[in-house]
Amino acid sequence: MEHAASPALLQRPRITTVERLEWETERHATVRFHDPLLAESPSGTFCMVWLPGVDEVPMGTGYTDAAGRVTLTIEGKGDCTNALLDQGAGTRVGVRGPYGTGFRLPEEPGRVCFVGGGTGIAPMSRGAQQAHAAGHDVTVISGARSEDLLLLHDHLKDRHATGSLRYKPCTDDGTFGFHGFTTQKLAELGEGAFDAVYACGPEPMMVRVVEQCRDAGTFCEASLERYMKCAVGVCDACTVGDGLRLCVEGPVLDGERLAGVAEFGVGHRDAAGLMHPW
Amino acid sequence: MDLRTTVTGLELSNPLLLASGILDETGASMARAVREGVGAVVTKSMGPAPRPGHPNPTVVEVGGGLLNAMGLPGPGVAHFREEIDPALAAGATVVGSVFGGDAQEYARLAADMEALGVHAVELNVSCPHAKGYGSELGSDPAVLHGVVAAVKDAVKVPVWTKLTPNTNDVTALGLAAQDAGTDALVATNTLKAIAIEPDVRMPVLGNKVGGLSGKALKPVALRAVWDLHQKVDVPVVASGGIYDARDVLEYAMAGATAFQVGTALMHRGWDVFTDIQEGLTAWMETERVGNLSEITGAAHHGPGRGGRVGTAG
Repeated sequence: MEHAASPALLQRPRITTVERLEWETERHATVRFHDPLLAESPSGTFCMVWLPGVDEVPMGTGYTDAAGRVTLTIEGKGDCTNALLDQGAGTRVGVRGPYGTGFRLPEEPGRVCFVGGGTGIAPMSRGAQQAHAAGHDVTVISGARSEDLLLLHDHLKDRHATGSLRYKPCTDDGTFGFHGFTTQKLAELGEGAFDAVYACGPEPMMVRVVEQCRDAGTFCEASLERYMKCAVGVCDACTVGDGLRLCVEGPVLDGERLAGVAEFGVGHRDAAGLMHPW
Repeated sequence: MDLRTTVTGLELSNPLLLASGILDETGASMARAVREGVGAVVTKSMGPAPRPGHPNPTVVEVGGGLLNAMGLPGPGVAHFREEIDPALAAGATVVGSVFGGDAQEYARLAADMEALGVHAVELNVSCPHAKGYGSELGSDPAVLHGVVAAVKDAVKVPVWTKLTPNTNDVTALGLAAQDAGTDALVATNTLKAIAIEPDVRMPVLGNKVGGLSGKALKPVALRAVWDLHQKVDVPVVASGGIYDARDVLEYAMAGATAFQVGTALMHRGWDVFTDIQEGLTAWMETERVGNLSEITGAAHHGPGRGGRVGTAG
């Protein structure tokens, strides 16, 4: 089943204003803005964020609130993201979407685990939020090199404190939480302990999570990131595997589909469509 | 009911083609197009070298259509074999689209594309948003003649020429291309257009100006097909806002013999190809039409069969 762009909604940017920008690290920040359509979107879907005069980039929608506010956790790594972080609160941006498929949560309340690395923790925070609302027992594994680089650290600690999720931070250097990789933490908890595992982050991490879950027989989905242009399923920039458009059939793919994506963990296409190794 | 058709010697299982620029840059998508029931695939237009294209936003929807300014991104002919090979292996009939800066470059690229094993080449002389390419060349009949003639000298496969609607006389372009030996005309590419976002006081597209496709283009391209049918002898392939079987029937009755589908994939997904074929078959059954060739240009020939729907004859 594919989800073509809704004819009921014009696929053009909706202008909104960044209300708040909170720095997470020296080059990561979480911005918040009002957009009810994104606030109601299924977790795992993404949006296109336009900084007028600069560029438009895909971003996984982060946690939201009941007042229609949406967060995005952004790494300054290109013209658009750096400019957005520089301009901060008060910046007018355009958003379109939601696009793509979301996470498929178990139909019955069960135990679910979200594994995030880097800014991949943003869609995980939203997945955790929706899974908790649906009655699931939620674990969030988040990884970074050191404590000061753990993204959404305060947000996830708060959610942990209120009992809406179990926060399992991991650091490569052991400065906070589990000393090691997220995949090692997942193995320690036991992949089989969960009814479903979701991953978003660096592709080597996601490859490991998918493999571990396959071996354990646990349902697993990963959210892939590729160069995106149209986001409405026509331009062929983000196609992977045997013709899966990540903006329509993705960005979330389950383990079964990922088994057919030869370039998963191997390579990605640039703006010209040339394949490069990760 | 028989949807098979032959265009410039290419025998197609059905007359629906995937239009250039839509899901035809990767081998994976072109192979999928075969599984989804296309009659042929027209590739993304390739130049000589890798091009990243214009900055985003590269698309923006407007009432009745889609504006795009992709900027002719692609790996280029030199890197295109790895995409063409899987398409050919999947059994696709492939029309390789190329764009160049002058007649010699078109000829070279068309020959390179032919060497990749494509069944025909389509000349993109009509992209409205890439400086120095496309409609900057293709809207001048004399220049267009030179491009087509050079390509015809360079390749053996059929040559299709995709015309721009951004002209006051599309038939002058069609006649020039025909005189230079084109084997078919494709009508049309997109209309030059712009969208502005008032709240930020600037154009939405990264390139500012783009090309309008989709439903709003259909009556314009339909008129181009209509006019061409009256003036030229080569086959006309329709392109512009085809969403359903009735759109195809309109183009057929205006004079087209094959039909490219593009923007509709945004709203209808890949299913659009089987949906249109089912719609055509149902209409042909009701109207006792065995093959679409029976209605090519029918609207030019005076009153039709109104009032005798479903009767024999």
